[in-house]
Amino acid sequence: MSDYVIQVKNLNKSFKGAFWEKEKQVLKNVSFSIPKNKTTGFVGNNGSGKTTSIKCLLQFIFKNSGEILFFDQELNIHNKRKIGYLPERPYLYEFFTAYEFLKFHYQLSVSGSKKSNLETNYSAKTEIELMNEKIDNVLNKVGLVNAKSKYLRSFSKGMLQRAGLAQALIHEPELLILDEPMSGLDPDGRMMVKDILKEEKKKGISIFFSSHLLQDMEELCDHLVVINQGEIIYNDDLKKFMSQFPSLEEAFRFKQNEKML
Amino acid sequence: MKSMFLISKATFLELVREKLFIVIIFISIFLILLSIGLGNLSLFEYQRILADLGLATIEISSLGLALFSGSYIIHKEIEKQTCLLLLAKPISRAQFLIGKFFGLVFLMLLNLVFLMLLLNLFFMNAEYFFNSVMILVNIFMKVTVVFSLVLFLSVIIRPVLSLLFGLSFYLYGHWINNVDYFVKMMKDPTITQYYKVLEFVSPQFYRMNWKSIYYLKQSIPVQEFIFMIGYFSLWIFLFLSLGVRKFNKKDIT
Repeated sequence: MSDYVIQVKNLNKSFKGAFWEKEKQVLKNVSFSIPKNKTTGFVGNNGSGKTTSIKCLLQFIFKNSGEILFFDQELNIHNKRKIGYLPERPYLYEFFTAYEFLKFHYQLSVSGSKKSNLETNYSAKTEIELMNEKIDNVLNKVGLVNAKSKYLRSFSKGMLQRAGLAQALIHEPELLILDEPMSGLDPDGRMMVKDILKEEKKKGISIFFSSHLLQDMEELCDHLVVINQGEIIYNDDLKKFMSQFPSLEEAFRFKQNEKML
Repeated sequence: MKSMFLISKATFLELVREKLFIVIIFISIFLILLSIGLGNLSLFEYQRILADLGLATIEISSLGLALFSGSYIIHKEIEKQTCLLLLAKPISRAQFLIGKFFGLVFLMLLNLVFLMLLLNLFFMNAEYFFNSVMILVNIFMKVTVVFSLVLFLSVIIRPVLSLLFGLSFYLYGHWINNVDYFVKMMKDPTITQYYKVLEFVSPQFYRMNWKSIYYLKQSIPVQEFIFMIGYFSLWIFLFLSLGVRKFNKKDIT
């Protein structure tokens, strides 16, 4: 077992619009690794390829070439169980209440797993109780405990983001992949997400998240991956990137001016 | 298997809570009541009008569900990206697509059973009940064939186009035999060959179209009934397999 939860090697992806359009290469030989039990930030300008990279990792879009390994294996049903994912601007099933939504995602996440079989060894009632307990805990964690019985269609943007985060956490994953988890949140919401990520990190969960908010990255991350125009230009320790600079923002700005970015 | 069941259940709940389903149910009830009214106006044809109009209403209602909900069921997931959360879970794309398929199929079945029971209430004739169940299965299989085509097409083309293709396929399956007369009149061997090919690749709904008072009163031969189920199941399997194949390769951007 390597020390990395995700390893990406020479990933290439291009898109073609209409048949008369030229193929556009969005990811160019992208290689990076996400260390175990650490928080990794994924940073880059708009359109630099962050979301495309994440979508390639989870096979929502298919790579042209390259290798992607999760826990030293290609993505499969078994290692998907260890992953919690939150997309950018999550659209959720609005016909569900918060409770129904989390119950649905919990059941999907543990269906057919050993974890689920272990739980069924007690009794059916115990498993339901266990699930309800987990749902209550996670709702409490994201501050939605009072909205448990409300339909998601009545939720604000910030509340939907929290519910999305809750579904990523409900099955207690080993790896969290979050695409812009702080976007659309008010200062309280951002603070809450940061606290949750810190808490998960303490538990030894590996976290990989993309963001534009360099201040938050600096506060949360140990490792940094920087992408620019589809190419990885930095993949190492955050402190190393920031050496000689008082903040990540200044380091980023300086390196941009240096035309490094 | 459990994941597929969970997705089917969620799809069923989603569709039941949508306005479209309620509108279709209300229109269907209205049309069945209208056929009772029309039946009462005729002196000796009460049962025929009630059966023909009522059964046609049931088929159109289910077809409406298959076309309107079926063409958007996957497209909406991709457009709103709600499928991303599900596909990140330990389920395959095939399980997702088939789960969505069964969610709507179950709703169509429920809609059919409800309307058929309503129609049977007005017949008040227990001897037709068994035949009406056979006709119900026939309607169900036909609309499921159309739905599986619409689902497959909605993976590759816009939902409006898949809806139109689905409707055309339904009409093509029912009306292709009407061309037979003109083909015979023309006496052109090339056109006859073309017609035979066209007829072979059509779902031949017209051969197994049992929604009339005749089939309600006469019993449908069991062999024919079993053949109908097998034949339409093959069409469903073909379209579902194509849908899964295409969806497995689709980039969800």
